[in-house]
Amino acid sequence: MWRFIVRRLTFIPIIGIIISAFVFVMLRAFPQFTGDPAVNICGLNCPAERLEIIRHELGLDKPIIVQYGEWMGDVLTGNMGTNYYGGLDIADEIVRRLPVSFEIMLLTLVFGGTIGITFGILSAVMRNTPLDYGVRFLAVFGQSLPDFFLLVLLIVIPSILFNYAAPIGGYVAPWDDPWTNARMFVPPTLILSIGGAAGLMRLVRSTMLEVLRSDYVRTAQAKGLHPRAVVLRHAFRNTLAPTITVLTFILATAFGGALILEVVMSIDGLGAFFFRSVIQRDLPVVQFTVLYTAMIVVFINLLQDITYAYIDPRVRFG
Amino acid sequence: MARVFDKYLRQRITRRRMLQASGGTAVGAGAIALVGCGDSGSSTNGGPTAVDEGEVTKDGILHSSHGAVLPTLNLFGAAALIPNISFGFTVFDHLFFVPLDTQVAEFFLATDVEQVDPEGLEYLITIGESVFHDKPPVNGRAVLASDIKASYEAYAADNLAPGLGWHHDILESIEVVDDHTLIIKQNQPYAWFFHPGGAGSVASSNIIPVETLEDSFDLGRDLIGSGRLMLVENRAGEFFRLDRHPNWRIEGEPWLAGTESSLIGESAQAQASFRAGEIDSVGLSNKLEADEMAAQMGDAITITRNFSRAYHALMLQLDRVEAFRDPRNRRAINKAINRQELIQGVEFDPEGGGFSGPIPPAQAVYALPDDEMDEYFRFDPEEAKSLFAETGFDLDRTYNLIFYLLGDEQQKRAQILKGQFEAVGMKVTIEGQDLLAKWLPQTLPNGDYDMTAYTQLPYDDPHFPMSFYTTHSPLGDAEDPRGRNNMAYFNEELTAAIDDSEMELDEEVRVEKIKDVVRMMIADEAPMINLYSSVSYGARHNWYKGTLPASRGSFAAFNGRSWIDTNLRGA
Repeated sequence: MWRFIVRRLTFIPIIGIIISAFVFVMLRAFPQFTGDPAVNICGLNCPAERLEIIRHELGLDKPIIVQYGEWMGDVLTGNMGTNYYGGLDIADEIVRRLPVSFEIMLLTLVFGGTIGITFGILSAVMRNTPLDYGVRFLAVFGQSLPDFFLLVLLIVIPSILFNYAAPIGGYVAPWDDPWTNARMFVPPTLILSIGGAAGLMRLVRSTMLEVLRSDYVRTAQAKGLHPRAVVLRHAFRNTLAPTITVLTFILATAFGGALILEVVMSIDGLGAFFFRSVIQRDLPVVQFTVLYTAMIVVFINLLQDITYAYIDPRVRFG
Repeated sequence: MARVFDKYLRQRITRRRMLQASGGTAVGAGAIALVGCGDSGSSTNGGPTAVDEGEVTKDGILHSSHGAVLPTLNLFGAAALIPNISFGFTVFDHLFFVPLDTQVAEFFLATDVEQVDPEGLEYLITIGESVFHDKPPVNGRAVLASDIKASYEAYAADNLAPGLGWHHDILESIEVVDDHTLIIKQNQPYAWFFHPGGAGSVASSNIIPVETLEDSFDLGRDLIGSGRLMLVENRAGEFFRLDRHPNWRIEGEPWLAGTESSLIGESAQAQASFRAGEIDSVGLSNKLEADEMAAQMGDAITITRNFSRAYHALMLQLDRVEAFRDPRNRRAINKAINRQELIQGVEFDPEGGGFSGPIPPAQAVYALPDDEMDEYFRFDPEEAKSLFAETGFDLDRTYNLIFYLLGDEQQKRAQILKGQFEAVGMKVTIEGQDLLAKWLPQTLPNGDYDMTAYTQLPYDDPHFPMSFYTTHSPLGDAEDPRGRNNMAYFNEELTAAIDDSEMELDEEVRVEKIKDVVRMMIADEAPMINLYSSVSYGARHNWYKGTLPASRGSFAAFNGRSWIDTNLRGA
């Protein structure tokens, strides 16, 4: 198992270098998209001498390979510099915002997984009952509605009916004030998890139906095992591989969801920081955030591989 | 609609009265007005609601919101306008300011101003006692005349920030006589000396401690002033907290313990937060929203309805579109615009706005009478088509109309304008740009557009509304040998007339000169075509008290007697 993990881990730096180099070069290869950062900062009427000073300060007057090497060195040593607009320390901003986005992603995964798996199993076990029909309808409904639309409804409807709105004023950690944290994050992440939960629900249902028709399940039932044991211990275990695939997909896409949620609901997370940096063409932030996002996806895939290997030994020996 | 302002502005004032008005310390204002700050946040037609200081609870924090991230705190440079305006009412003190309703200078830090010569070239100014906020490296020391000199000179040295015409072109020198006295010399008489166009600007006359103007201090990170509120927290331009200046020069004020402003980009979210009591006031887009809010919240809130000082405008760029150099084409563009349709389409209320000529209707005393403006406002698409045909205007070309992304209204206006221009045969694309990162620092000042539609700030006097038509506009390339004008509109005769009006110290004569200037603008179909001013709506919880009427203009935002009734809201 350890050899398997180590083998997978060795790919991470390689992937990181490829992705970061790709992003770095792309952002500089198309100046019509990014513009001249010095002009972006100082404006078109900026004196030429001032532009040169800014370019020098940003290191833009060096060869691109040198720029990349220096940037990579900074990233590896945790020195990500400052953003173009406002001179914010990017590392500080990321440390401040990371818990926000992380909590959104985690809660989305927990809610999506719990709802999707629970109702997927119930729907399969109680096939062709009103509950099954209801779950299937909600699954299609949930998949059809875009997240941002549901988020706007979440903002508008409770505020009109109950004068309720999520607290503002910035992130409050769950250990500082659990109630405020829950008010801030539970409703929107519930909404955000609907799409993933709906997909997972349908997948678990169809896989479970397949498994429930298997001989070994029929044998377990014939032996007089408790139905709960049959479903959870025998049938559900065999649906884990595709379920984990979808769960990791939910986690990977939760970053995008976090971005939408943070922008729509004005939460000061990493997604909102990234979104604004793209709009403002703030290259240092965009570069790092793309790398960060890619690394998250890589780690999620690693987690998925390890989990596969854990639940199915054939994977690690294959 | 424009006549609403007449009752406030008919009062004739003289130079002498202006100078006699001493010690009129600000009664004003608590609202932090961030990004597009203006006349909605603290404005109400209810007027002040508290006068008995004994009833006032002074532990309340005003919770408000702003619609876009403040990209920098730096008071200098291309993006300086927004931080200056955002904190000019609160963190910084000023010498004086001229309210819209009285047009009489109210003294802030200044306690006496002596006009040394009859031409108004030299002013001897005495300042009162005041201290800066207690933050390093300033550490709460006294405000000195040398700080004012350093501040004004720093603004004068800034070649990138807009709106510094007085500092660049008219301010000659500042001499420090002693710690509490200074002399400001101008190279010409200037009618707007006390006004926001001169030494009374919230955007460029902030009194900044000299230590923070040195290179060792990062103005992008922190601001230190001597205003009634001090900046204690800034989270990346998304959240601000300002606390009461404990040693504010007016004893007992401000009545607020502080203010907090959170970024809320979506208007639906802002309204939800208001309903939930998370913020104390909210701007509403139109009458429809105001009626809905009133129906939902009942007596718990006050709906405010004011005729905005801001005005919506369309700029044409003459270098980008050569055909716009022909006044007949500019007239055609104006005739293609149906202002009433714009008001109905954007404000959802036929009474939701008043047409705006070159001088916005809020400055009614300077605007031409309605009967003179009827022809300018007349919607006539047939005339537009025939003018285009007469000039051979290129209708095969696609013209780009740029607006900035903030709320829905800018986009709606751009879409309606696009439809109106297409109705007379033009091909138009519309493009939304980020306000603070792109449109404000680049597109607008550099004239990087065919046409751009936007909302002008709520000015308190005609200086800025007129300045955009001059060859020394606050916007445009300062190195352009033809002059500075972002529309590339270089009309020497008009500029001379505007300059002449601004040197006229006699109020009555100046009003007439400005009216003549407006007539010249209309006759030449000047390429900044103003559309209308909106009726602005807002709502505030009834625990938010002491706000000032909108007729006071920006002066209302200096309200140190706004307060939160914590008996009603809680702390």
